[in-house]
Amino acid sequence: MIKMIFKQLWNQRRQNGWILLELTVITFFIFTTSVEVVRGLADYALPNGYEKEGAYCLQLKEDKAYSFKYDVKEDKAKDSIFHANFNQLLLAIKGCPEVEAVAVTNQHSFPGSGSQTALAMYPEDSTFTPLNTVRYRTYLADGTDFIKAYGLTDAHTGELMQLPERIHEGRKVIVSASFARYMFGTIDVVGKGIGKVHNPSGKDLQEIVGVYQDFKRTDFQVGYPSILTINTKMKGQNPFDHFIIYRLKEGVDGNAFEKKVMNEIAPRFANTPTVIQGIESFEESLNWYNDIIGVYNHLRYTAVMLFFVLLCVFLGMTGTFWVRCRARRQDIGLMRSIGASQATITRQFMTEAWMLVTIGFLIAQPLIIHYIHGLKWNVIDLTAHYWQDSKTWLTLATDALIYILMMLIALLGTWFPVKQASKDLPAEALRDE
Amino acid sequence: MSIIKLTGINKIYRTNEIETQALENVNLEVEKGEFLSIMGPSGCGKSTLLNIIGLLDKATSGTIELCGTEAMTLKDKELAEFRNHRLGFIFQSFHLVNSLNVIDNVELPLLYRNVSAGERTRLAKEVLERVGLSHRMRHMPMQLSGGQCQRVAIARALIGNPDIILADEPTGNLDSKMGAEVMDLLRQLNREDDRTIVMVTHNEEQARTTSRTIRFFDGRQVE
Ligand SMILES: Nc1ncnc2c1ncn2[C@@H]1O[C@H](COP(=O)(O)OP(=O)(O)O)[C@@H](O)[C@H]1O
Ligand SMILES: [Mg+2]
Repeated sequence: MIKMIFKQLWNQRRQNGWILLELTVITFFIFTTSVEVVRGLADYALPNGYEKEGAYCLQLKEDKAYSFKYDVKEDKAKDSIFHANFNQLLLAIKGCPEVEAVAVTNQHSFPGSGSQTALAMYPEDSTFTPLNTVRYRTYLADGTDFIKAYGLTDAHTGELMQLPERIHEGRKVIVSASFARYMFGTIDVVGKGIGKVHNPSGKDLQEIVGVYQDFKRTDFQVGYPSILTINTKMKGQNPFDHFIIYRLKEGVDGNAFEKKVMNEIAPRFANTPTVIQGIESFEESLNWYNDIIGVYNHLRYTAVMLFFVLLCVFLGMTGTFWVRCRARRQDIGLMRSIGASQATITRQFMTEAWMLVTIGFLIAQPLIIHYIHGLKWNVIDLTAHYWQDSKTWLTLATDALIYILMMLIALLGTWFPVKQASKDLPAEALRDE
Repeated sequence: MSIIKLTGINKIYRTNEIETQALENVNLEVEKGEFLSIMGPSGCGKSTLLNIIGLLDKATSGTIELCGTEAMTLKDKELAEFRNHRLGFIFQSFHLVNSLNVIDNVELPLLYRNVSAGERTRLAKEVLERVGLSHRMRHMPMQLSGGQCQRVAIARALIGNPDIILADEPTGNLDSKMGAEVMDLLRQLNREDDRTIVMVTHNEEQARTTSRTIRFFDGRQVE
C-alpha cells in the first residue's frame, strides 16, 4: 500500500510539489514559534532551587527626617542607631513564634531584584579565564540562617541544605552548581578557593563551603552561575540597603503575620529612622519581576502566534485535502468498485497525508537548522547541562513536538473530507460530470 | 441456480423537486456462463441496473441475490470484499487511475487482498499478456489510445478472477475497429473461462453475438 501511495505521489510530483512547499513552509513556521514555547516551558519546569512558598521579604526605608539629625559618617563607623534599630527589628521578627528562620540580604539578592551585581571570579590554582558570575550577598547576623530562610537545596542531594558549620569563620563562600561546573567541571568543590583577582592567594581567597542547586531568578530562566558571599559584619554598610527575609512555619497565614508585623512591631520603631515600608512575599516579587521583564507578554505573544499558525495549518490542510478528495472523487468511486472499503480508502488517504507531512517535515529540516544556528541566547557555552540550552536537543525536542502537531492536524484535516467522500455511493462518485 | 437474481427491483432518484423512476419492477435471472446484453435508448435505466447488480448503487426496493448471497444486507466491508472477489467492472470511460502506470492500475484490486508484491506483478503480467498489452506495462494511461485503455481496464477486471463481469457500454468510447477488438476479448473470456458477463450496449451487431439480449424502455424490461 505504502509503495503504491508513494508511486502515486511521485507520478503526480508537479501537483504535489505545491502541497509539499506549503507543508515545508508551515513546518518551518511552526518550528520558529514552538521553539520559544518549548524553551520557556522547559525552563519553567526546572526546579526553582529554593522554596518560594512561605518566604517573605521585609522592605525598609530610611526616614530622612531623622537622618540629618545624625552624623551619617560617624554613624556608619560605629554601631550606630541605624544598626541598632536594624538589629532590634531583626530580633523582633526572629523572636516571633510563627517564624522559622530569618536572613539578611542586600538589595541585589534574589528573588525579584531587578538588578544584580556581577563579578568576575577566578579559581585559586590556575590562570583560567575568569567566570562572570552573579553575586548575592548575605549578612550573617546572630542566629540568621539564610539557607533555611530561602529554602536553598543541596546540589548533591536536592534536599534542603544545611548551614555549613564553618560559615562563621569568615572568608567563606557558597556557590551554585553551575558555577562549580563551569569553573571546576564538577560540583565536588567544597574546600576549593576562589577569588576576585587573578591568581588569588591569601587575603583575596574565599573558601567554598557549600554548593547549592542552581536557583532561578525568575520562573522562566535557567539558573545562572552564582555565588553567595557572606559578610559576618554589616559595619560600613547602610542597613537600609538590606532586606530582612523571613520564612514562616508551615501552616502560618502570611497575611495575618504581615498584619501583626505592621501593627505590633512597626510602631515600636515610630520615632527612629527605620521605617518598614512593606512586606512582599517571594511569590509576589517573582510575579512582579516576571511582569517587568515581560516574559509573560513574550510567552503570550508566542502562544498566540503558535495558535494562529496552527489554525492556518489546520484550515489550509483541511482545505487542501478537501480539494484533493473532491478532485479524486472518481478515483475513490473506482477504488470502491474494485474492492476498497470505506475504511481502506480512509486509511489510504491518511497514509498519504502522513507521507506528505513527513516529507515536508524532512525538507524543512535544513531551514530549521539554519534558523536555530542563527538564534542567540545568554548561556556560557552551548554544552550547558540544561538540555534546552543545547541547540541540538532543543531542535530535537521541538521537532518531535511539531511533528506530532502537524500529524494530528493533517490526520484530522484529512479524516473529515475523506470520511465524507468515501461515503458516497460508488455509482454516484463514478458518474461523469 | 442462477448466478444473478433480481426480484422486484425499483429505483427512484429523488432530486430537489423531480422524482425519476429509473427502474420499475425489474425481475431478472442470469445463469452462470451466460453472456447477457442489455439494450435500450439512452436514459432508460441500463446503467442504473448494472450499478445495482454490481452493488455500486442501492435499489429503492426489491432484492438482489448474487452467487447465492443476499446482497442488500451486506455491510460496507463485506460489500467491498464481495466486489473485490466476485465482480469485475468495465466502464465506458475506462476509469483508470491516471497517477498510476498500466501495471499498477491492473494490480490495484489485488492490493485490497493480501497478495504479495511478487505475486501481484506475476498475475498482472499474465492478464496484460492476455489482453495483448504486455509491451505497454510502464506507460501512463494518458499515453495510451482508448482501445488500449479499455484493455487495461479489462485486465484490471480480470486479475481478481471474478465470477461476474459487468460492462457498461465498454465500446461506447471506441471506434469500430477497437470496439471489435474489445468485443472479441469479452467473448473469449466468456467462452474460455465460462465467465458470466452482463454488458450494456447500443450496438445491435454486438448484441447479436451474445447469448441473450434483453431490452429496456423507460425503466421497464420490454423484451
Ligand atoms: N444520480 C441520479 N440522480 C437523478 N437522476 C438520475 C441519476 N442517475 C440516473 N438518473 C436518471 O435515471 C434515468 C436512468 O439513467 P441511466 O441508468 O443512466 O440510463 P442509461 O444508462 O440507460 O442511459 C435517467 O432518466 C437519468 O436521468
Ligand atoms: Mg448509461
